[in-house]
Amino acid sequence: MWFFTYNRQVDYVGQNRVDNLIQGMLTGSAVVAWLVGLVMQQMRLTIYLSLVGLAATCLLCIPAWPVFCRNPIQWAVKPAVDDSVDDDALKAKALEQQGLLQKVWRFLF
Amino acid sequence: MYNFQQRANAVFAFFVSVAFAMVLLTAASGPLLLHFSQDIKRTPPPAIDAAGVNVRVGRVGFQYDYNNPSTQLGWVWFNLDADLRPWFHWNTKQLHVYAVVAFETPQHHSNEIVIWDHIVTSVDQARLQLSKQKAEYLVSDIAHKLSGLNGTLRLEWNVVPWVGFLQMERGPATEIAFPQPSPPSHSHTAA
Repeated sequence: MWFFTYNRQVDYVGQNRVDNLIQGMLTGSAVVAWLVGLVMQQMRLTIYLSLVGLAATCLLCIPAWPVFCRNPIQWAVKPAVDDSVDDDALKAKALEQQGLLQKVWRFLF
Repeated sequence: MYNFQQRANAVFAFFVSVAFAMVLLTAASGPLLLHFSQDIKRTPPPAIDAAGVNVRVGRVGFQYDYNNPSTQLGWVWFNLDADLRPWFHWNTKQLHVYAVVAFETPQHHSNEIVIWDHIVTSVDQARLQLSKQKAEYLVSDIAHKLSGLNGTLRLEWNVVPWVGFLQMERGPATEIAFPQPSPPSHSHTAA
């Protein structure tokens, strides 16, 4: 069922690979399809082969295959929290220092 | 490119560009294929000649020249032997084939009238052999006179492509002459 996790994020390396794959597959299948149609003198061969190329490109490039998710982004480490500071006390002190206008403003909005 | 929809969009957007490039190449290939075709050079050009030319006196539709019905109308019968099969390539949709009568009058040096047409939609039907085929459309001149004029009869055809440029081709011309009018077949068409 991992196929349906379609919104899994493809990482940056994977995005680059997908982009190269799309351009290479579509261009290659179009060149092959056009040449086959020209040699066989059949327009419908060109159309069908290019549509087959499009279908293969869709299958390979649109789902978030695991190949494209092998280099997950290394996020920065969250800085350590200083427990010695009492947050509530700081907030209360800040409220005391507010002017009248600020109090009215906070009350209204 | 990070999610499903963006990758699908990238695929189809690039496919449109690729398809347009293929269309351009295909459009360019048609005239080149015809230009370098050995089959066309080997095949004899279409032969057309008039099997009979008849001039009658009548009116070209009752709405024209209602007071002067004495217009000379030319009917042409022709023999045709044309092998148009080499004009079919992968980008040919159909051929529009038509016979043209061209003649010169003292007032107008160039008059061309299509007397017969035909559409060939497949290579199997591109071998045209007709004997004493009657023209579909009559020949008439703006000066109402045809007798004594000399003209030419030739075959023309358009190569209609699937994509690209329509090409107009013409075969060799043969001479035709318009004789004196034959006696009227109906009593009301007074000469």
